[in-house]
Amino acid sequence: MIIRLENVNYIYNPGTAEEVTAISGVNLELGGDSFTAIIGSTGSGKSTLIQMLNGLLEPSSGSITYDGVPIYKEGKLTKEEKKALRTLRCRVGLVFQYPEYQLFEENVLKDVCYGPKNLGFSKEEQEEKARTALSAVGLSESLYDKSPFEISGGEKRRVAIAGVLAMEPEVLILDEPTAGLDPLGKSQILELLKKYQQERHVTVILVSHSMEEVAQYADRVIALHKAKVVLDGSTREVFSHQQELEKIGLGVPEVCAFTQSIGLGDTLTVEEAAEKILQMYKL
Amino acid sequence: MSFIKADKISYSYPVIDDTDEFDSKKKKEEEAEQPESKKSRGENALKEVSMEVRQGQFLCILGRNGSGKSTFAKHLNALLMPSEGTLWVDDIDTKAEDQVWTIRKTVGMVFQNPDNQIIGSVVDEDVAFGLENLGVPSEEIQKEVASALEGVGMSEFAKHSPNKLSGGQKQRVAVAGVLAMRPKCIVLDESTAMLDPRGRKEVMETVKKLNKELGITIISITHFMEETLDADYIYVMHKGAVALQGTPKEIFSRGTELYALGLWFPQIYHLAYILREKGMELPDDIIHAAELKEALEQKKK
Amino acid sequence: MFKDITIGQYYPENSIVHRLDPRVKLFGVVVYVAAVFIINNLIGFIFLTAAIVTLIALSKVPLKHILKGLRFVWFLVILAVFFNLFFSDGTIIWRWWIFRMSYEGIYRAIFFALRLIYVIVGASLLTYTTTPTTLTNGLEKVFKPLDVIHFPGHEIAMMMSIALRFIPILTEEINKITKAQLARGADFDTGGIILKAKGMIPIMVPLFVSAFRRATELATAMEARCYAGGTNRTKMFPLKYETRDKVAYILLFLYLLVTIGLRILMEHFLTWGSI
Repeated sequence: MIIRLENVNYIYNPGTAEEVTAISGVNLELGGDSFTAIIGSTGSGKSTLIQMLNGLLEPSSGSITYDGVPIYKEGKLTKEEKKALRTLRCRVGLVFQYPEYQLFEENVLKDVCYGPKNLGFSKEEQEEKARTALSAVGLSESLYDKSPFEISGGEKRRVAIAGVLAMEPEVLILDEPTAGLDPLGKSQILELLKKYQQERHVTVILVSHSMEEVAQYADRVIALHKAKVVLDGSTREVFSHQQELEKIGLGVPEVCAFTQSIGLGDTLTVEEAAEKILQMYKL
Repeated sequence: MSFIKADKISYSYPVIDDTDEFDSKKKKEEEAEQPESKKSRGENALKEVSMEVRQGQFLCILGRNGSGKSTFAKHLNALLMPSEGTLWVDDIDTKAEDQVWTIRKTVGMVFQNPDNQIIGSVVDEDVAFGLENLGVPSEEIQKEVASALEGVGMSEFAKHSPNKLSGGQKQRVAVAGVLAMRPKCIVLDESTAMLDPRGRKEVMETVKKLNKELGITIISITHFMEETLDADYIYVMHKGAVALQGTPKEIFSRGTELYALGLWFPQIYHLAYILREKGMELPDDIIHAAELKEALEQKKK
Repeated sequence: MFKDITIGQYYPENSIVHRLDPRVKLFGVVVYVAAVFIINNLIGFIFLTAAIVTLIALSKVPLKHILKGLRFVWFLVILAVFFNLFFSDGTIIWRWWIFRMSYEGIYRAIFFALRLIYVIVGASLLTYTTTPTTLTNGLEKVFKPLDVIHFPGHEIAMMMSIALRFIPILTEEINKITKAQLARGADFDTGGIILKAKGMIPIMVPLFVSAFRRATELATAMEARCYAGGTNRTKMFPLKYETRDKVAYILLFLYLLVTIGLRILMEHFLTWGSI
């Protein structure tokens, strides 16, 4: 699926003294078989952008389409039209920051069923989708009937992600899914996302503050700064703009900065850097 | 002469109602399936933890979620008392009930969620909260609050509402609230976990400054390996016990042992580690980019 | 949906009314509300109007801002007017089905509406010109003498100020949770009232869980900062009466006397203009 944004603007509190332009003149095409990262410092417009991508916020102007179908309609809508739009928007799943704060059901399995239930699936289908999603996030079956409030923090996070996965979105957006987790918990989440993306050839869009994470997992990077897209390209290409990235308060992974400082150019991962250094010294 | 000395302290939670404790509950349930003889007296969140901290040190405590770090931190200012063993803070046994306020004044705590530890609706009123509780005279409070806010670089926000501040600024206000009580030690209990990189840098630079200029002991509990590189000493906790301890170089040179504890190498150390594995001769305590660069240049010659 | 509640939100200005001691202002509100109900004649209302208009002018809070706050109570006013207008006994001038209109009813409706509006304007002037913290400090001080009968004045004040600090945080939280559930396909607009109420569970449960977590963390943080209740606490900025506060007290007393005097005078000697 392809999400296309044309000339999208978003303005908070228009016409008042507190008017803030959060997104300004953004043209973007997202989707396909890709692990995309969106980076930008706090206040750059990232969270506004991702909320527009699945219809939670309506752009002040401009259009957003999924495979050419607009996700907003003008005028008063009938119940059916509203429902159709809701179903359409569920093709894009959004996992918020600290998603474990949205858990509410009496057990893990039921909570994950909530999304498919809203989409109108039968009881059996709901459970089947929930089980598939829970196994995709690597949660052991012994936890399915536990209350989502008595499992560990990392497990809660995975249940919440499964809650969105169960809706089988074609584009999965995650706002800092690793925030607050320990290093092992972080890499577990990222690995399962990578696996999910590669197995299903869907789009995963990751919002992250960690350049190391982005360099290691993403194949495409979009950098936002002051409501605008300032860099968009393959991960390698974007991280070759070290100065621009530093100017907008982001920078490059430590290992990338290091190889540049010793004249070996950009590297994305520690392994790649090691290889380059070894080559240099063997020659 | 140590400032904080923990002598084999153990602790188990009586009731279960917070994240760290969720884990212990789970463990308890697992344990319930084991034979009676094995679960002697419930699962301990802390198991014979011994630590020593000298005045003015910058100490880091690492470990997975639920490894007992936060439980230990809460012992440091008598929010919790050890079930067994003894903890001395500035030569006072934390179990001494009449000394609770002295201990809480000596060791200040900054917690993870900036929103859940700011009490006042105005920045300076929040910073004053601790001093007001201690019954300090008004003029003195005003003086201390002003200097604490200056210490964390937040003077211009004295009359602002905390709700409008960034995460990093809120945590600096929380640091100021502790600083105003003139503590000898500040404990950061994952205080940077919810911040963006800029906020994290702000907070870490602030506490490093307090450590250097005022000689305040800093105990930082964190998941971010890069925050530990300049630490004087590191303790790594695992399942309620101290698993490793040493200087950053000593800790990171333990190599793959760290993986087992759920920790990651800092990137530069990792790079040097791989290079060594691949047969390159490098000193085994490289953690900073400059050190690696120098070592590589020496090899060129 | 909670964003629009501006009624009573502090309006930063540097006016004499803002600078008055909160205790004076609290006393002022009591006198003012008493006056609104004591007054039963036109002269009294003119006097009252002059007083509140002067206060608003002194406070530098724009009249427009104050009237905007009234927006949310119009419904209440109309409801009250409706019942007084059509369901009062007295000299009936019009009757249809269960509705009846009387002279007394018309008077009562008008004055009821006026009283309600005046009370709200006066009370909101207090919160427009006093920060929540100052207000709670004032309340705490006012309740202090009740310590002897173990009235928890400090605790109430502390709870109020914490509640005030957490209202915007929890509002934001409701917003976040709602969006998160919408992203999971939740439908909060269709269905009958029962379905709608049931649909709120995915918002209410996480909200309560989060509020309890926040409360626990806040309690720990307060304890860590040596909080032990109200005894032996000091204040960074203790309340202190200035000359202007004393003058204000005298004016308030005088005003109260005049209002009561007017009423007695009207009841005993004059008949015109009374209600």
